Amino acid sequence: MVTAARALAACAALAGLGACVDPDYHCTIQDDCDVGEAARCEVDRRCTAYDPVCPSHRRYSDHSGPVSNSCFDDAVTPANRCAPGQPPAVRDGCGATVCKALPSCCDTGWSEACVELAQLSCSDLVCDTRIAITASDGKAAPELWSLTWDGKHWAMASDARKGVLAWLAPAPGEVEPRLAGFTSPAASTTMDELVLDGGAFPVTAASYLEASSVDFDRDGRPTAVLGYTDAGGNPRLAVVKLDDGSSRAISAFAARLSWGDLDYDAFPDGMAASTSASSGNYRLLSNAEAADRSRTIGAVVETSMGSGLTTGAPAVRGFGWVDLNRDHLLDVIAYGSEVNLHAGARVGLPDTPQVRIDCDPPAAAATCNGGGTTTNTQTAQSFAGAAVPEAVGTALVLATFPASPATEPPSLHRAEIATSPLGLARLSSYVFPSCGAAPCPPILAVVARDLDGDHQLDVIAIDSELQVYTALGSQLQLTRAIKLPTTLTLPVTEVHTSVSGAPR
Amino acid sequence: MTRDRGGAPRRIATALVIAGLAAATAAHADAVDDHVARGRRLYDQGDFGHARDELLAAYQLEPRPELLFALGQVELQLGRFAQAIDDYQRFLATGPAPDQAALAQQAIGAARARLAEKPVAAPPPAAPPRPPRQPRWDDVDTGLAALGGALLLAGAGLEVSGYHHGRDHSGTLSQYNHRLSDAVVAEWTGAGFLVAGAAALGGGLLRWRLHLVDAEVQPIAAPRTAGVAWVQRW
Repeated sequence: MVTAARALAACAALAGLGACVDPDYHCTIQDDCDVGEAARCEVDRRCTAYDPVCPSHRRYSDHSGPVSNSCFDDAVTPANRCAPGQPPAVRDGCGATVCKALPSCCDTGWSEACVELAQLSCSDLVCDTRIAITASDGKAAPELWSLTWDGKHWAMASDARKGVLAWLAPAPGEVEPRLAGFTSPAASTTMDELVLDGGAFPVTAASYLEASSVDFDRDGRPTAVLGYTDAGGNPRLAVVKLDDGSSRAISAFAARLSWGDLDYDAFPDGMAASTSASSGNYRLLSNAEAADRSRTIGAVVETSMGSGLTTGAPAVRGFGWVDLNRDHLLDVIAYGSEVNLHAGARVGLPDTPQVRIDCDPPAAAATCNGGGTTTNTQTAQSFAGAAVPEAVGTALVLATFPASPATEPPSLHRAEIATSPLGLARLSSYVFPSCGAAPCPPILAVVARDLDGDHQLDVIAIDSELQVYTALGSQLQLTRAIKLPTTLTLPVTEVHTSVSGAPR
Repeated sequence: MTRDRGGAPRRIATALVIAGLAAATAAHADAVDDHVARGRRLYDQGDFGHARDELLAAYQLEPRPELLFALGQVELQLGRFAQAIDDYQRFLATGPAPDQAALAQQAIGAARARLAEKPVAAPPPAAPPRPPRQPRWDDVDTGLAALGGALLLAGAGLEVSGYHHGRDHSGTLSQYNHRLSDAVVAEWTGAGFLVAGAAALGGGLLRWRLHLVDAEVQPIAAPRTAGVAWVQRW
């Protein structure tokens, strides 16, 4: 006999069937998402729509399974914390440690500064070091080299691609970073294909200067931002989605491209220089929202190197991102004919650097360059450098490019950063190995990575003859590591580095 | 059935008296003899009524004392005990032989004893067992069951349809939204149908179980026993 309780239970179960619909829609193409403003098919195959309340400005549709109506978050636990250019990290383990010191690593993206901080503060993280080198003598086509430190040995490999060689972030969920370069049709100077480990993507035929990984749209998709000059000589950025090859072009400065978050809006901002080697202008490329709610480069803040460009050296060599003043926010350093320190602010990049550094030994520009009060005045220096986060504080390793390299010895300095007021504090000089009677070649590129796994950042310096030096920890003795057998007419004037790695 | 309380001696005596009457009639009158002979034959056949008539006819023709004793026996067989006693006493009054008188006295005693017996009322026949009341499935029950089944089928169909619609992720999100809305409506409607169908079916079953009626009774013939039996029909 069916009891009343059983009957009621059966009725309840039947009634419950009414809620059996599984509201979990999965899109396959962008056009599948046609509900809401600026709807988008995300990497997890769910639809989002524009919602400025969410940090990512995206909210899942209401039929997105367990994440329905929640804010879209592209944070991941990186399979490889040694590689920059990835989406923001989840605050767990090493991610939590890093993001406590530098929240943008979990809010905006896993950038170069995050990798350095992870090597410094995550006891379980030991990386190999991979440096993609694009060396140019300003005359012939650049030489491309891949340099790898596996913890015991340096290895080098010449790369036959053209344009620029760069390490891109690993594909989502993968460990290995991807070495990317461009190829061009035979007998053509323009490049039309981006070739990287695991694929090739046709790109607009142009002269490519940069290839970088950044989660520009905060969509978690593998994204490369390429810098180039088009046929008319105009600088452009190409935002390329490496999962489907789609791309869009943005008009912006395109040289020395580097990414961080300077206005702390959870979207990565870029630093880029003019494509004119003689121009000292550089800009903050503020990641902004277009009218159609896509991401683009919005208002730019332009500033420039001071006067006194160094002959044979580009006015801007590159940019570095680090928390200089220990306020847990990224600051930016511009290296070139001088070293400019820009303390980030929530309003963006101030058009005037807080600190300008020039001279050799480096000093605040106001106190040197002939108009100052110090005796180390020396004009026409150009700088390469790298910021080196330390357990306490930050150091800048600055290489000077003398006005007359053939007769003047180069120098490599290590300067501790004073946070209040922001500026250089204790200055030390690295000791070069013997270079014989002639002055040692000037250093054109400086990289900071933990080579020996002691959780101190070491210094890797590359000179104009493509000789690689290293200095471990805070030691000031440079050691020759390896020399790249370049065929370029020496000396090389420009060394462009792109650094990545993988756990070892 | 009445038992013969006189037993074998009385039957033997009766036979002797009638045999004696027969012999006497043969000697005196043919008519009396004929009556006595027929009376004897009828007595042997158990037709006591006609046997009495024959004996009375013979007595009227010739009032022999022995005929009184024979009449007493016949009356006894007919259950007319008072008449039997009267016949025996009249026989005794004729001064029969001692052995015959003793038989007559014995017969009188038996007749008196039977006369004194009260007729025993036969117990009323036991009422046939009342058959248990049985549920009756009627047209209303059939209607409810049919309605419930139809609703259950329709509900199940809507559920399946909604289930498949809800899991069809083809097309765009807006198309999916529409489809999902339809699926939700279908599933809730289906759930309603299922509940209603279950209620109708359950109501029908409950009504059948609670709707008790007397079992239908049909007489049936049995080869060895006669009686009644009840049969149950849906």
